[in-house]
Amino acid sequence: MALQREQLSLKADVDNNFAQQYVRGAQIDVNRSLNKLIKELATNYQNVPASVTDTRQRLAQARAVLDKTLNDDARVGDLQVLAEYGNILNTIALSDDQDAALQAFYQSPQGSFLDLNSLGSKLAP
Amino acid sequence: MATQEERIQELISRLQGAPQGVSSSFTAPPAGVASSLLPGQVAIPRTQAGSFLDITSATPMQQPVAPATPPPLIPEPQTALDLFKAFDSPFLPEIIEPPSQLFEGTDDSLYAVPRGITRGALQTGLSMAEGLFSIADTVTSIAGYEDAIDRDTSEFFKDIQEAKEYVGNEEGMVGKLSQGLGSIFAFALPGLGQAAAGARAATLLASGPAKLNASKRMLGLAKGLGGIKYAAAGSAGAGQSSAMLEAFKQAGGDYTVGQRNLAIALGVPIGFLELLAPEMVLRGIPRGIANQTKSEIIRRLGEAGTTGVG
Repeated sequence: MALQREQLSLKADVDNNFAQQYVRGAQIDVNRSLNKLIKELATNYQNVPASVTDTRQRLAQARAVLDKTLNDDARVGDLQVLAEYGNILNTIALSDDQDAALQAFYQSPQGSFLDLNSLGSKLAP
Repeated sequence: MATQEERIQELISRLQGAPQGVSSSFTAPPAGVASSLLPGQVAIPRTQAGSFLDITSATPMQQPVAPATPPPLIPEPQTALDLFKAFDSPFLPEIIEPPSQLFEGTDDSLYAVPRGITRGALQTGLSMAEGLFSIADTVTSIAGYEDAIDRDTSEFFKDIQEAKEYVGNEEGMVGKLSQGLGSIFAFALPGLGQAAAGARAATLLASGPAKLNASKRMLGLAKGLGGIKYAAAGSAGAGQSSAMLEAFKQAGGDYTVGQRNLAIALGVPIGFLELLAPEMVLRGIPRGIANQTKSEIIRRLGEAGTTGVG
């Protein structure tokens, strides 16, 4: 129940752009959610069956599993965070100059409050 | 003023085009029309690609074919950002379930019972290891050495989790019951050993003073096994707490170090409670009954249970 309340609060934060409006609580919530989603995505990636060898397909599988988990658990806030940042982060990840794109993102209103270490953090082998 | 007939004639001539014999000035393009639009200057092939005539003439259709370029290969993700490289497609693939690892496939009691008992015993053994690790983590944390053991980075803890995943859990009703039974066996074994050693010590003592030393040794063994029994039950309880915390974390929950320590500490007495069931059963059998009869009762009960769930 507490989880559901947090998720609704997070959804409201993202829907109303509270984080961009310097609401500190919303910024913390979005950061926490994004970090959690990254961890889950990394775990899902490692748990993809070894029969799937192509990296793109493995990443897509990890994303599909995450999407299913979020929907099954009705994590509406996390879903909203993913909808807000998924495409942006994809564009940055696929850009030729990833560092420059990431720097520009951190200077934008949507990325200015995000944890600088989370997106660039190295994945465990 | 033109009559009705003249107007009709004019309309017909306009629709039919210029009549034969009219001077060439009528066939000349009107002023302002580009000469490139003249029909004589446009080279129209006899059949056009994709047209009905082209298809019926059995000539292969000539369509512009773009050279097939495979999507660029993505290297292994190195950073968290790389995990988002597959977010460019709105379509999600069908999830491929990993194959079950341990002789899965049937809920027939012939297989499910031994499989469930084995799984239960193995899972409890792993839970005990996890519990001991968690207790050590709690103790060092309380003593002020919070970084001495870190469950997030510990290889040992990771190996235990992987082993638990590999062993897996039963899904059918028969399997689940058997798994529950197997989990009791794992830490009831030291208890049964303790009872056997105690009985043996009493027998040796009764046989005469010559066997006094052997009886003492057997009694020591019984006490040792008793200690192992409680340690196993307590660590299994702590392991269960740790597993629940891990599941809570996987589901997106968060907890503090204090909450974790409290949960692990409370898991230990809860683990002791699991000893109650086998202890009550063992103590409930009257002492007057011979050991052979007790064994027969237990064997028959086991058979009845197996037949019942089958």
